[in-house]
Amino acid sequence: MGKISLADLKKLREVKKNELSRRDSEGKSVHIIVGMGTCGIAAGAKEAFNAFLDEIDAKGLTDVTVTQTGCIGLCNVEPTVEVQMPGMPDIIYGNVKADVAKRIVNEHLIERKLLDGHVVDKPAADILK
Amino acid sequence: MHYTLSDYIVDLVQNSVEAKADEVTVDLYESQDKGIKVCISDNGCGMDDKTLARVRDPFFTDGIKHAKRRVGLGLSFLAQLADQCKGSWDITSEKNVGTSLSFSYDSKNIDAPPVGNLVNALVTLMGQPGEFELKFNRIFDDDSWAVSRSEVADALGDLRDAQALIALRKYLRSMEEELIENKKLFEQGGIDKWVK
Repeated sequence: MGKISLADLKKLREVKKNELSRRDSEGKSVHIIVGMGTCGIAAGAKEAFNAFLDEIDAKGLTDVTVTQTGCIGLCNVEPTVEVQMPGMPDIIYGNVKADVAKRIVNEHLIERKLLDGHVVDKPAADILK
Repeated sequence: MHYTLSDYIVDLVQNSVEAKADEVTVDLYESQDKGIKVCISDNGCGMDDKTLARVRDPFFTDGIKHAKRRVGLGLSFLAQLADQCKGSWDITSEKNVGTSLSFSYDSKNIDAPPVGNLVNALVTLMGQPGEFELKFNRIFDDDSWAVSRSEVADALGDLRDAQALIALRKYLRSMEEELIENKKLFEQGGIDKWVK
């Protein structure tokens, strides 16, 4: 692959934006929030973050945000990932290694099923808006 | 201790962002003969001389981020890194003006950390919440590339969007790949061997 210029990057983005605007995106946004505190990073959150991007790219999903947050106090089950999407309960998954991140994209986001064995919690009341 | 140089950079840039810097500059100088030097400067809240004198102490923290915590390991790790691989480090700071930090070490030392996955480190740093400018300059002997958060945000829009992050990763990777290829480093393994 050759070097990409900033102008190419802009073009690449425009193509994606056009794809996005053709969809009815209202109320469909999916939010993936990866715990990237020291505990999360030590447990492999960086690899999970990367795996989310890989799988979202592979499946061509648009309208997904991937953001980072600090430690949410569940250091024993790091890396933790919160998934918010319409039509599904907000879920905090634990022990999300790269392979589990892949499964979250396929099972939770696409098939709309919860992952057995990795559901740790619903978000605590004080972090719900 | 952090495992890779990229982890140190992420940790230190986070310090700057948490110090309310709206501009952070990172220069990474690498040389096949002279080792590695990193300079990070920000325009955050800075520190007075009294605080600065204590930052090397692993049992010192300002207590703002974690009220009950009594350790601050970031700079202590850096001191240890410099110490164990024939390096040096320095920090200067002025209250309400900003902080500058630099460190260097012999990258051929047996205890030197690998560079690590620089591309992913930058993607996570640029995708962090908040409004701040991050300028990153990668200089390897006479080759270099540079990126700034404002220019990629301008090209890609919202950097929380997964597709924007994927495009950013592709962009950074293309620049790093070219640099590595020019240097004929790790010819057999390519970038994957290099970044892991």
